[in-house]
Amino acid sequence: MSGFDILFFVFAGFALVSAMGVVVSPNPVYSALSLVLTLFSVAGLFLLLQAEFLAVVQVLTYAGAILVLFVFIIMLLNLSDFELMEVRMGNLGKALLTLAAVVAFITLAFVVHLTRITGDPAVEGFGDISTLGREIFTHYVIPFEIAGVLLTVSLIGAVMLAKKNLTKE
Amino acid sequence: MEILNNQDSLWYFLPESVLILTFVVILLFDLPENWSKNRLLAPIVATIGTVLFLALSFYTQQFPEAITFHGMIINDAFTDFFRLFAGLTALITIFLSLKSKEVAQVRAEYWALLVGITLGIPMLAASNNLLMIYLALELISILSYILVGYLHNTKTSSEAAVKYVLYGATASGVMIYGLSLIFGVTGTLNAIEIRQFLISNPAEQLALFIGLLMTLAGFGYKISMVPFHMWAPDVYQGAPTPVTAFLSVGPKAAGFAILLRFIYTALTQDQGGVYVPLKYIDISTLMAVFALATMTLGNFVALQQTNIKRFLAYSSIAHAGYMLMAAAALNTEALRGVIFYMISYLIMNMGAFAVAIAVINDSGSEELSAFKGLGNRGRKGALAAVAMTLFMVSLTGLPPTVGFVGKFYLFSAVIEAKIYWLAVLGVLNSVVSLYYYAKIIKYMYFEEAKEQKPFALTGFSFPSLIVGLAAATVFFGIFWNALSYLTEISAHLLM
Repeated sequence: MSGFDILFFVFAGFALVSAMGVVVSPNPVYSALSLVLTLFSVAGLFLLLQAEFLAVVQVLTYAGAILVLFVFIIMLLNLSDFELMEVRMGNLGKALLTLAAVVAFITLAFVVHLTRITGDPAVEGFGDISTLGREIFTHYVIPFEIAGVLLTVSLIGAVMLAKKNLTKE
Repeated sequence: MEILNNQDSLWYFLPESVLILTFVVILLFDLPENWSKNRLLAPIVATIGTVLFLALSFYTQQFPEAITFHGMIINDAFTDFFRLFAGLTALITIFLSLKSKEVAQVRAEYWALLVGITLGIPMLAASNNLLMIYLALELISILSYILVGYLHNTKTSSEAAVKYVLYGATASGVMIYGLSLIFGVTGTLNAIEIRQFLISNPAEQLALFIGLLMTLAGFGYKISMVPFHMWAPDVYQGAPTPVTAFLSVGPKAAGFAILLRFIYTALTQDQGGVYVPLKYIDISTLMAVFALATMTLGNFVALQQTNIKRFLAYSSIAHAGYMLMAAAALNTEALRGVIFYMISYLIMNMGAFAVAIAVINDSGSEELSAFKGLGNRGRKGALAAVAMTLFMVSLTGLPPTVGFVGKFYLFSAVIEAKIYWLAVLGVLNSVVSLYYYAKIIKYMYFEEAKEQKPFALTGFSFPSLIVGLAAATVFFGIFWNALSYLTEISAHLLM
């Protein structure tokens, strides 16, 4: 077992366990913090794949900005313990859903394990910023622009939904 | 097959650029205090932008068909059709929004967002790349969530928006996982290259199938295909009625466009008008089962509805089932049929919603009972009732209406493909739908209205729109050659 393998299993293990934590934890703050850990572990996996820029962006935006926002919102909403405990579902329903999730997980794991992943080897200079920038502004320029439109409209929409009074006097 | 670089592709992107520009201009126009007071300014700009978009898409339609932006977007006759479709749907929706009391006081953003969705429809219909598909789908979805929750001081609207977001987020999550599996198996995001890979290589059948099913969850959610339809009734009921009308036609057609383009391009091989499924996946039978489940559930649940918007929601699920037959039949006739059906659905469904908006404006109630005695309530009432009768007959699929011709084309494509059981069960489904569509007709003519005052449908333009749509329903039901020509040239996929 090489160092690479050991690091892979460490990161992957952390990612899995903390992802479980997001789902299982009854307290949303703990869930959000587990999500931070998951995103850090995935960033580690990106590093192992030599996608340094992706790893850094993942930590900066997701683990940094977005998750801090999540925690802020959860704290601001200040849900009481009673509301958090309330899940309107019988034990049978929970059991069935858990079973379905486990079956889906095993199927997917099985499928991914069996699948022979194909594709070209990564391009020269994969993972560094200059290659990424060149790709974004040549081959992927239209998705890049549409993503820009998408973010703009989402922003406007969020402001609109947050405003108290949308109708004109 | 020509793959253009970014610079040459820009000309093809002209119509969509105009929509993006319109979107920005509307937002800027809202900034000066005295401009934002003018309620008509934003819808007028939106209308001008959409008309310009339509005009430019007629212009770009003369260009030779090409794959643009390094294989991201396909500009073929199919794309041109959806530009036309999106533009027309947007224009009717802008008009309906101006006439509906529910959204009478909206701010400029409402119109900007409508323009935004209109941009998403042809983008999605033209996508050839899995990444592009995802982005265009999200563009439509996120804008739809916002428009559904627009009346956020009413409880139903907010509830509908939250439900829509939760279902939508789950569906996109599942879809993007499925897309990643397809990418893993084939090693490419380009739909045409996916087909080429599948033809020449033994693919991982199981992973491909599961990836495809998960991708279908995303597409199916957009077109309210059973079992991904659960959001539709609540969202259609809670959303402002003009938005519901738009959602049931525009984004749904976009969902169909990409579903058909993806299945036809990536998973079948064109053999002279018959698209033969690739060896691994029997996509035809799979989609036939989905189609049957969708139409049956839509029709049977529609029988029990008492709210006009829920009623039209289940009716639209049933119609999604009919249109899904095109994904099962897999031949050029099916493409033509579904394009014809979409036009007819645009006319008759927008018409039904227009009358529904008039009735909701008049009575303030969304219950089906508000239609009672409509036919006997003065001249305007009789007019609305006659129009609604035509729309209902057309939605059932009876001659001499455009709905009949649409169904005829679709069913003949299914028979052409020799899927007889689907054709028989589909026709039986139409018989079931007759019951609930006829119920509205019965309410309008054979039941007593609660109040006998004349039906309030004032002005000139709103009645003319209803009359125009009703006339189109009958006109194209008798002289369908013009539409049939349009479908003939549009049913061409560049692959």
